[in-house]
Amino acid sequence: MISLSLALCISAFGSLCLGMPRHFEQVFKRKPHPWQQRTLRLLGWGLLGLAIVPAIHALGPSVGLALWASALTIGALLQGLLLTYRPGLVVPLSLLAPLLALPLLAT
Amino acid sequence: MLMSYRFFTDLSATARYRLVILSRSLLAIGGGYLFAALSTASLALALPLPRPQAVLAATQLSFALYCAVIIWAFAAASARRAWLVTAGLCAVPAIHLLFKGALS
Amino acid sequence: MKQLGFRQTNAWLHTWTGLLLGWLLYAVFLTGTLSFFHQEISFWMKPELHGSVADGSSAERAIERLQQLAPDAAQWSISLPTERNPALDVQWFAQGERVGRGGGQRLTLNAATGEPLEVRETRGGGFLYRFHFELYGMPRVTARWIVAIATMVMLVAIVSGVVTHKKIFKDFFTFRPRKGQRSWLDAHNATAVLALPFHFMITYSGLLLFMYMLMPWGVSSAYQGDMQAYFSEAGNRRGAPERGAERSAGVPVAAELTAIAPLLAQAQQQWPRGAASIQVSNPNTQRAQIELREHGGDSLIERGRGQQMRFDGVTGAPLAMPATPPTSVTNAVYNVFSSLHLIRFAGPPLRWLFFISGLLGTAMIATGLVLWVVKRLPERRKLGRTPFGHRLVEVLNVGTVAGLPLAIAAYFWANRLLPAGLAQRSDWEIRSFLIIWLLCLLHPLLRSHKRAWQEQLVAGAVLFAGLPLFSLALPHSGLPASLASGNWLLASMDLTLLASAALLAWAAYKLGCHQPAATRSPQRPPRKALASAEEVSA
Repeated sequence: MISLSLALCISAFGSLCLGMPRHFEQVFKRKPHPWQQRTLRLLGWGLLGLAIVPAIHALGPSVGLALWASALTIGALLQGLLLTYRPGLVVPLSLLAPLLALPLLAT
Repeated sequence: MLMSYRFFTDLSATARYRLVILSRSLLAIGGGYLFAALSTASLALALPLPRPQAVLAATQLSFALYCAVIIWAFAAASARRAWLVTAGLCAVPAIHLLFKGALS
Repeated sequence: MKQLGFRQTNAWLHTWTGLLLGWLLYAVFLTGTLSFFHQEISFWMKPELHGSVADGSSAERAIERLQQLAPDAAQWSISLPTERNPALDVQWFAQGERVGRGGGQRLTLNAATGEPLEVRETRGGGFLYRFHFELYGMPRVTARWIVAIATMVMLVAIVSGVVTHKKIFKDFFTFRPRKGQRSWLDAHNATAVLALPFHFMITYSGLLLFMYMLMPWGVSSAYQGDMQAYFSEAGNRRGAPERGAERSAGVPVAAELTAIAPLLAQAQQQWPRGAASIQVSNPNTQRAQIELREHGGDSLIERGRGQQMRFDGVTGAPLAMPATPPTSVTNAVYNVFSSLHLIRFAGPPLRWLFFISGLLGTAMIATGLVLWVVKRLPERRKLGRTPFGHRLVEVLNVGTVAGLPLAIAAYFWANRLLPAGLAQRSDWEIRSFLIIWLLCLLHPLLRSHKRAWQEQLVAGAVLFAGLPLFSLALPHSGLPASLASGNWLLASMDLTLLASAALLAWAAYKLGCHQPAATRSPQRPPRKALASAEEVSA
């Protein structure tokens, strides 16, 4: 559950940074359409909100929110580093992260 | 503000700059703390909460107030103005405390 | 500074408050970050405990041992093995002794056998924990005031920094490496902004933990300064009398103590995290009572305090617990803030996330300090010499930013190398830390700036890398053994030491590649007002 929350944060920040034209260009070498930009940002905020759910489910409201808040930091940090050093990995990681977290849920 | 205007204008630009910094720092540290302390004492009596909680809330708030005054002391358009405004701000809780007799 | 706008005065304030107490704040942040794991560090620093493996009957072994050692004590306390400390700690108080934190007799037991363990004398992670708010070697109150003032300065630096950084959201993901001053600024901004909620929380809650010392005036006005009255009315535990030591008159009647296992099984059903401690008052008498405490609670509003269960010590029948009053909103705010800071409640994932945020905060301060120097290089080139102030900042930067980790590594080495029988052994560990740190502060005086950085970073890397290697020689402490047995408590410590070594080595390597470029660094026209303000003040 904790890993799922973290994974959703990673995807959310991937989506949010691609929603910024400067970083979209870094990854795709072209400018985003306005509708792409809007969709990506909405998706990002939605995922950020969604990431609260597993955290609270696993740890209760107060510890869950604390975990979520610090998972935000990790998600943003990771995407920031990827954008700087490996922009090509932003999209794959954002898509894969929740999928990778799912098997961990079973354990 | 404490020095005469004449004295102040006679100083070199560097010295004046340093004096202003000194004055504002004194205001930020001392004046800011005074304001935070007076507000805490006053709010502890004034907040419409049970007594222990009013104390706790006022004390918790005090550091935000202190921080705000410190930033204001350096951001105000002139040092004189910063001193005057802070004095005015301090007066409010001080008068409240005087009425309550808590400063005795 | 009349001519400066709001943002520029904040930039000025941020620069100078940050510089003034930056080194102290760096030390507080780094040791504070390590304190998130102070129990784990303490465990690592006591290799004698590493063979202790907890199992289902550790509690029974502790009781057996106490029956032998102190059958007629007034009270027994047993700290059960946890994921943060797999050894058993027992403590007992003789009849008539005051039951308090410092008193009684203590013993550490091997959780697997119940045998007492001869543990080397060390302050462990507790030293780093104490250091981060009480420093060392000065009166406790003075030190707390110094740290509290630094914390207040940190709050001002955070707020003014946020005001200064105008493109806070636009630059959210931005880091531009190999661009000189620009990169340092980016790194400073990124480490600050990414963990901003953490930085603010940890700073403000740090102040709240000191609040009655810093701001006693609310209690002064509402309670005429009577702290005792305030705490007892607030229902705080500090005002409440110590319980468990009360002894009714009369000769105690001997009675056999009930078995602990069924009681623990009952507790286990209600508490998924299990019990953390057992307290037995008046063991082996008819008045015996057994109290179990839950291992960490769910809610920060209750400060993550676990629940309790009380049993009759002879029959094993459950006894009623006094009801806890509900928590008010203002108390809740305080409780959430303070328990987030103290993080007693948290499992490993949250602890690691906080640890990373804390490291980001440490990096934020370090990059800020370096940025101050880098930003003034053009000015220095223009001047043709290094002003004394700049040199002083450089020396303190190396001696703190690189020197403190080195000193911490030295502390760990002293823990490994000092003989177990040495008098004042734990003091000598701390002295090693202080001596090495002092040397690190002096060393940059004798070397060029770049050399000093490189040498201290390399030395730190070597010391950190050596620690896990040294542990290989100890019976239960080696990294391969702890990895094979899934002992993540030890393995994570060793891996973190290796990671620290790698980080320092990488920094030294990057520094070695760096060519000081007089022409390459992009010279943006300095903002006029700010530049003139700094020229005057420098």
